[in-house]
Amino acid sequence: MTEPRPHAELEELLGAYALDAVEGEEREELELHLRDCPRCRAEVADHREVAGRLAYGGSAAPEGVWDRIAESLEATPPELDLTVRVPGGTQVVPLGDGTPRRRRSWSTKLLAGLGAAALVAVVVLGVGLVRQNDEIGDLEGQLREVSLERVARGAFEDPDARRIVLTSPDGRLTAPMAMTPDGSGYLMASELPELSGNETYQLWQVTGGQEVSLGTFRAATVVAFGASSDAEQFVVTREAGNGVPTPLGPAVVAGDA
Amino acid sequence: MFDDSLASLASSAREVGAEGFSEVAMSSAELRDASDAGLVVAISRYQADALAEAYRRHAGAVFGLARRLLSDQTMAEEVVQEVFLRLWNSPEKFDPARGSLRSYLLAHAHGRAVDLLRSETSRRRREEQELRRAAEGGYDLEHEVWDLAVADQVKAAVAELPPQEREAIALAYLGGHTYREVAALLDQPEGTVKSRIRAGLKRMRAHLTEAGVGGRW
Repeated sequence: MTEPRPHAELEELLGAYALDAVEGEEREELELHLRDCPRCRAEVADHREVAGRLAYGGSAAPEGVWDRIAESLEATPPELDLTVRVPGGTQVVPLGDGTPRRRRSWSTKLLAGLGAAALVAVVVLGVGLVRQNDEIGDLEGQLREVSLERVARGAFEDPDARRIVLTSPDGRLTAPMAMTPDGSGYLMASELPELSGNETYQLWQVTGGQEVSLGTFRAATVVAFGASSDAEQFVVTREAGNGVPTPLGPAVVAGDA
Repeated sequence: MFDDSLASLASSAREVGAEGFSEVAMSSAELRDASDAGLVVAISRYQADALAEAYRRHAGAVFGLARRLLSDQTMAEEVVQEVFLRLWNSPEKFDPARGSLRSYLLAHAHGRAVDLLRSETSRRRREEQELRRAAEGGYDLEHEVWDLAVADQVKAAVAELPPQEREAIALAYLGGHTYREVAALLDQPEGTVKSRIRAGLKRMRAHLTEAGVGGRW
């Protein structure tokens, strides 16, 4: 593989890229770069906005198209139990095995959980494992500007996302989690018991026996975090004070990635 | 920074009690007046008439662009269907801070149409069409844009572009060509085509910003 292109060279492609005029390896390289570069992303967005003006059309969409769309909306998939119980208390949600998507039944349960809370508390964990500052800022920006619940729901509905349910040792508490391919994670933490004054929950990812803290939270409905794709296990512990460098307190919920 | 309607929708949803998820729906009057963000929030709450409103506002432009690229009514209709169903199924992908709903839908439509265009059978047919067009006198973005019933300020911005920037953008965007194909068609270096596309888009943006065209569709 040749050396990565210098930034100036990638910039030159931004106009063409915005017009869908870049293909192949160049395009892949540029798309990888865009994930890390907000300035280039903004430039692409600007170009697309301009290009969109070129396409302003007075034509009406032909009849029949809306009817077909409306029909597709009506077709709700059947209710199905998504969880597979595995011995040891870990529940795994099967993904992408070719069966029709059943997102709505999953999200309806989630939405019920979200709607029931008087206030949806979303906590963004500032201590991300492999996130650069730009990415955290961007994640927070997304959460502010698009609706917090919807971003989390989007992750749970994303067919490319990994979904895990963390459970307590006695199986009574569950905390579903979704992780999208870029490492953004959302943990639904509303079942975790309320903490007393001087305690905090701490989320860890475990890889090769090593525990890395992903951050702390107290009361939250949704906990947004950044993790790496090689995580083997996720654990939430209950710690004294404001958190610890290595887990000391008991595991509240845990699950294998 | 929050859009007003987005904030009020979000807060009214949160007022719902233990019976579960909010059923606060927007009335049709509210939908007609809703901002892009407000409309998409309603769509995310599975409000079908919100999608209908988005369709009412933008399907014409989406269809027009797809039709222009594909020259095939059925394929263009498929693109329209896909774009709106994608909005229904993944509303969270729209970020109001990044741009308008119109340009978001058009960007999807364009990408999808270009994918269809670049499939094997299409390519052969297109090559023949290109040769014929080139013989007849080439692309003229000014006329293309006129055909698409574009706003006056946009026409003015296009008219002010240096011809070579205009040409490169027309071939890439409306012709659905990669920049390398454009370079081959125009017999110009690839680097030159790349920069002309980028420069032309920047120039148009500057012109449109100056003209105060930043409003919603």
